[in-house]
Amino acid sequence: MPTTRRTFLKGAALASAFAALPPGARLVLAGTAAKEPLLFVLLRGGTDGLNLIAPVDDTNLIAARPAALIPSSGFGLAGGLTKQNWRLHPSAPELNALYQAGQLAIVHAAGIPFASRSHFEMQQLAEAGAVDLTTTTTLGGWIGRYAAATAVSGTFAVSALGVATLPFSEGNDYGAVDMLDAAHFKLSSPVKMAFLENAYASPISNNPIATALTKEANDALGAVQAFQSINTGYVVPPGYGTDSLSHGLSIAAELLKHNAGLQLGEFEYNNWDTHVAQAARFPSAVATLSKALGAFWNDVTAAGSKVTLIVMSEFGRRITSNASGGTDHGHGNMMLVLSTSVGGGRMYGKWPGLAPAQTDLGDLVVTTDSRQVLMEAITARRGDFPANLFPTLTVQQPLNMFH
Amino acid sequence: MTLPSASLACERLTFGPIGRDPTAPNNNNIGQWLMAQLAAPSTDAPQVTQALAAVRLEFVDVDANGKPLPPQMLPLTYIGANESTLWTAMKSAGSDFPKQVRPAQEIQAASYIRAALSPYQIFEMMVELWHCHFNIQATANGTVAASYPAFDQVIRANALGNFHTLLVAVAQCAPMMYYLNQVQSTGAHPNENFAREVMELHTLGASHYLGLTTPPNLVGTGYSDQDVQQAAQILAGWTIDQTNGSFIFRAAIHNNTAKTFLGHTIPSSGINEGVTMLSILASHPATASMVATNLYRRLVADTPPAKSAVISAMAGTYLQYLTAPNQIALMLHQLFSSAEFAASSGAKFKTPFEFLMSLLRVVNVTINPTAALNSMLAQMGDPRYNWGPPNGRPDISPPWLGNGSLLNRWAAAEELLWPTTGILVLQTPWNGLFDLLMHDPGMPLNLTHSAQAVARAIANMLPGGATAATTNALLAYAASPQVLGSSAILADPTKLRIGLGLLIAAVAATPEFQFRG
Repeated sequence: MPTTRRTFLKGAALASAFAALPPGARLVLAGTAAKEPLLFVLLRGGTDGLNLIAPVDDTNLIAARPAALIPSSGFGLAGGLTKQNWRLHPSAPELNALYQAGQLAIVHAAGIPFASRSHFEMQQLAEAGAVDLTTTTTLGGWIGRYAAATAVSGTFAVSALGVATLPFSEGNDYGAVDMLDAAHFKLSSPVKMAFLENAYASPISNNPIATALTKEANDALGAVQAFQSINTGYVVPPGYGTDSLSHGLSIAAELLKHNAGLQLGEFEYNNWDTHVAQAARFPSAVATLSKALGAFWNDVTAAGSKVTLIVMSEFGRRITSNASGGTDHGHGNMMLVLSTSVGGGRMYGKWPGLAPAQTDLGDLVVTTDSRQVLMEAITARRGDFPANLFPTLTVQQPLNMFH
Repeated sequence: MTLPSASLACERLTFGPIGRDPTAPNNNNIGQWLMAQLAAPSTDAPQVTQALAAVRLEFVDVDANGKPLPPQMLPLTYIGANESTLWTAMKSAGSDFPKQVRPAQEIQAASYIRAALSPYQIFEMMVELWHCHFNIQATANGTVAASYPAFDQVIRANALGNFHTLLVAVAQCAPMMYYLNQVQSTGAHPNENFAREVMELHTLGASHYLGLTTPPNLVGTGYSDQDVQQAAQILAGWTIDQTNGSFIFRAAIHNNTAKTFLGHTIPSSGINEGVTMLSILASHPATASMVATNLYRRLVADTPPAKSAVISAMAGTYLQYLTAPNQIALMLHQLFSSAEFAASSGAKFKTPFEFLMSLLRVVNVTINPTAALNSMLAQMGDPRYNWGPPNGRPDISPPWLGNGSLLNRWAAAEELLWPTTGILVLQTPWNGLFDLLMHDPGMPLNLTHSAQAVARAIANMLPGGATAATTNALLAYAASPQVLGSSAILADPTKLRIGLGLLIAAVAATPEFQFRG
């Protein structure tokens, strides 16, 4: 029975060979030692960064929104962008612990320097790593573009985990794995595997969709084989939640602990479009995010994995709340950078202030292009930043976040 | 005028062909078939009504402590209920979430029956298109779920009708009001959610977003954040009557000032400001172009060309017949008669919903629309009427080509066909596709070799035929001892039922089956 796939990929073969190693055992693969995995978490919907991390004694903020949308009772943060009383939302104890431990850095007033308040435009730009909507179709997703430019390869090298369909950021041309949950990433039997290998041996026509289908189907068959050798008998450590972000990050940890070749990962948590009743909805969303990141970090660092994880949302929300106890679409926002190599426990960026005259039509001004954070992470932790990966990105002032 | 081939129409303009279907169009009657389809009534056909009446959908209530009660199998009682009935039921449900969400679940279940069984397939495809265009996450919260049938009814009443009428009816229905927070907006503290999305997603389109302010030379061509803020003011007071769930205008929360919207001055006129605003949007050339482009993307190809003759023509028809009660049908007729449509074979990949529906249709036995169908679609990334953000699921192929979505597609076919899943209800002797696999047309039952079943499955499930590679893969699979590869299996009805199900699921997993013509 032809259960060995024709195009069985090198990374998968290595992963299979290492699958027998105990959790935590690490082998350095030649040529990959210096390139740390980079994980990108997109919080779709527009996270209210000022409800998560803010100078809680700012009189403009206090005047603009109810107390419930200001994290006054949260964790005090040293190293803020101003001399004010910076605090982190009380529902994020895991993030506080990581900040205090120096493994979490915060960039504030970051974002995409493009004047749109549309979710879909700004998500498209965040995923394309661009600031011009007319270029995104040609550019494709920045993760896929970076993977192609730096010849990242291997079955799990580019993965979208905890998401049901491939995100635009990873495109569909780079063999990215997309896995909603580990339990469903399988086939029913070896004969079905053999059938699909035969049925998808070559495209049924020259039609580009038929060609893409053949490629994706073969990627799926290869990834299933590779994943089964990793996942059989694997037990997810305690601490993760039941949300899709936790699912995705737990799979990432599983791949990292097995040295399965995960290089670039995309994750999502989409519960932030709080136009209404934000005080009731936001804390649980923050708790989910914080718990997932904390569980993941404990899981991978206990195993000695080095990884950089960057969190962003397509935009922040308006400084002034609306009538429904919510906030409408805004602009600048926080970003989170988790890394064993980041200068954590402090904030980066330039605070524009919240007085009406200091805002962008009532929204937090973007003082740091979010792509600069990605660029610094790639440069510092992977050492291979391709020229013009992020078109028109100009860096006025390096953040120097990584040591 | 170019009429499409019957085979393309049959695959592209239905949720999938059915083997040996006497009602399918042929090349002699394709013109009449299209006209009849485009004149479809908005009410369910008798066979659909009958099938819906026969459905018993599981309901698991909870007790006062939130503990699940024993499951009950209940008929679909909310799918045709009017606003006030739905509202009364929601109020009596109190905080009982299973009761609140039941109406939305009934619409999910009914959608499978309607898409699979309706003789008016183009109508059902348009229902699907408008559900995505005006996306509402059906279970976003208890109120949206409890009132969701009102939205479905609005879509169905106008699916082939007039866009302006549809736009206004959607804007005023409770589930949309709650989903995009218009119900909470006031003049003093506007909520801009609906005001933005009605322009970005429902009418003008994001390509006509001008940014934070409107440049003087572009006034009237698109919308900026100034227009979003003005639209929120214009619509302040558009809300829902809390006594019966119907639309109401509350003058007390509306600012009585003149507004400037898309370059028009709208004098202070209460509810009429919003009526005027929607009329400006519905009659805008950008809306005509967006609707035409969306029809093209759904029915012809993922990437509409920059200069498409038929999109221009449809946009022209849209504007010419702005108030016609069959405006949408007229656009569709133009599209189906175009050279671009006729030449589009192979250009559309089935969405997960279209994939499941095409399989349900081709198997052609009684459908029990259990919640397992919802789970399958969620796994494939196409949650049934439950897409979270208001943009609706993408109408292009790349998201569905991801390896995770494909694996779940292949798995869903197997699960659907597995005897104990309980979605497909076979008669004895077997009917539908199972009957067609058991013998050649007009001949007595005769299945003595797996290759016979393969040939019949290809003939009935893949009207465009199969490549040699696909055929050989199916032959090898069917001949394996786990499928149909032994006389013991062929002689044992239980094992044969499993084996034929596996074969059907394998044909459904072929590359050929993934395309809409």
